[in-house]
Amino acid sequence: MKSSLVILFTAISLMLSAQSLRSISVSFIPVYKGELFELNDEVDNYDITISKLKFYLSNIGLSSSDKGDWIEKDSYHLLDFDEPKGMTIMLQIPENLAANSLNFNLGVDSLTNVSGAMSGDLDPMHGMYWAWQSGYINFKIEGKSDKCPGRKNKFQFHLGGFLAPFNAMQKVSLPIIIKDEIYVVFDIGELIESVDVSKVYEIMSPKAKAVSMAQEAASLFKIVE
Amino acid sequence: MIKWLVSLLGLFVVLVGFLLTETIDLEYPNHFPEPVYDFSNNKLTEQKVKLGKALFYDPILSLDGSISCASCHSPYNAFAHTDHDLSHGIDDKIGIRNAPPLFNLAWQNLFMWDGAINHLDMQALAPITSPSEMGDSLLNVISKLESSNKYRTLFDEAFGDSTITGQRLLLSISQFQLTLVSGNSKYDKIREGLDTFSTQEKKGYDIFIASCSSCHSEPLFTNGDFASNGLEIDSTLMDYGRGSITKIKSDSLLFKIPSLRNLAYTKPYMHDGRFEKLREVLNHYTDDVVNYGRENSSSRLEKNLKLSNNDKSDILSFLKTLNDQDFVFNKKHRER
Repeated sequence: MKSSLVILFTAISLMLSAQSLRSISVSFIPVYKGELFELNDEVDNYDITISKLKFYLSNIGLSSSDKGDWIEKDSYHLLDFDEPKGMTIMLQIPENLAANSLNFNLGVDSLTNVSGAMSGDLDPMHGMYWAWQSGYINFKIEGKSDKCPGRKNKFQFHLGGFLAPFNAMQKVSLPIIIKDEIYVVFDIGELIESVDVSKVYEIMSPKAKAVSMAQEAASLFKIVE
Repeated sequence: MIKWLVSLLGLFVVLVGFLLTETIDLEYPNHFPEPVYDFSNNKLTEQKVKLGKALFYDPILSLDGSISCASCHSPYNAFAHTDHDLSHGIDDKIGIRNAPPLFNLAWQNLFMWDGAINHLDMQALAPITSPSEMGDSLLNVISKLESSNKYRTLFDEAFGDSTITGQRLLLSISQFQLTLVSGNSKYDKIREGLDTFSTQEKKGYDIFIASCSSCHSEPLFTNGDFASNGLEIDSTLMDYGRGSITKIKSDSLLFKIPSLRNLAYTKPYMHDGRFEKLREVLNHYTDDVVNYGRENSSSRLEKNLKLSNNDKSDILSFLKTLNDQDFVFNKKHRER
């Protein structure tokens, strides 16, 4: 009965609070050494093919130094380069919000990692959860390159881990001017070069190398002016 | 105006739906502590337990439809796999560890012999996707369930619509497993003042409290921790237990401390099922403890325990009071 009342109350308050909100989109554009690329096609001028690119963004917020923060509620987004519109997040923000930075976590926080089965983008059916050892995969990139000595020249980087000292989640903060459409690029080529797939081509569990690669990934997000 | 009426009607339907699915409370003995499982995120209902039970007994969860959870966790063996040292999977594959019994899971924080799983809800994912167990993927299992009328109905009854998600599947399997409470052994009846120990059982109990209960603590007969049990590593398995999960050197060769309830139904014993008889386990603890250079570590079994043969007989007599026949023969937990 209690839960029914809560629902009723929430429904009514939602109707009343439908006040002035503004819808903005934040689109993430992966590039390879500055050039656009497609999944499963060899990147022009580079001996490399990316076959999978999925990652979690969480706790998305906008902030300004003097007016405090706005943080999206239940903010967990799985971005998947293989899905149309899979790289765009819609945000409903207060109409007159003044902010000069876009903040998010690359990955999933540790509390969520220990809280059992989740729904929506966090549902483990999306293949971004380690079955053999509890924990979300924050960032997944797979592909192949002739330089890579792994089986069928494949590399697989599954970056995750939520326990110290291998907590792989990264905070990202980018300077922005609020507008209806915000574009963020990140250069996967820089990430792949930072590990050198001729030497390191498989990271699939929480470890120091996963943390350092996640740090590198987090540093690559750039606002398109 | 009509829009408002429609949405009010919708709300009414939702309200009635909530009232029809009564939540049920987990029943457990008074001398048990509060469960650690957070039921507020997964309130028990008869419909969800029923769905979880159907999934638990259904080989549809495995890639080739040959293995169910119950294949290695049989209700007749307190949900363990008697006579099998290591777990079995599809294509006659053999795992690396003994399938543990399943009961009193609402009081466990970490799962698997190495504690790799941090929540009961996520545990089922491991056997479903392990190549040497059920060898399937969650997405594929969901699509198989979606094409089954039986499961669309069961999900509808449990969740109010027939949508099948990973979360719903996992929460339901948890629900059935949470109802597997073993708390009606002779020991429990003694705790409730309904029975008494025999002279030998009492002697065994006293020795047990002095020598074994720091790890196998009452009333669940495990403290939920990880420990070295002094076993020599099996060179065919090279299983380092907890250490391979935490990557902490001092965790190497630590394994979860199992409950000692229902031992009569759950042989063979230890994480690799190497001992057939309980007396072999006790003999190991008095004669063969290997400490791999651990000194002053958190492990309590750094050297052999001092127990006479009579002591061992008394302990074994006490351990029999932890067998819970009512649990093992409870028809409610069976397939049908």
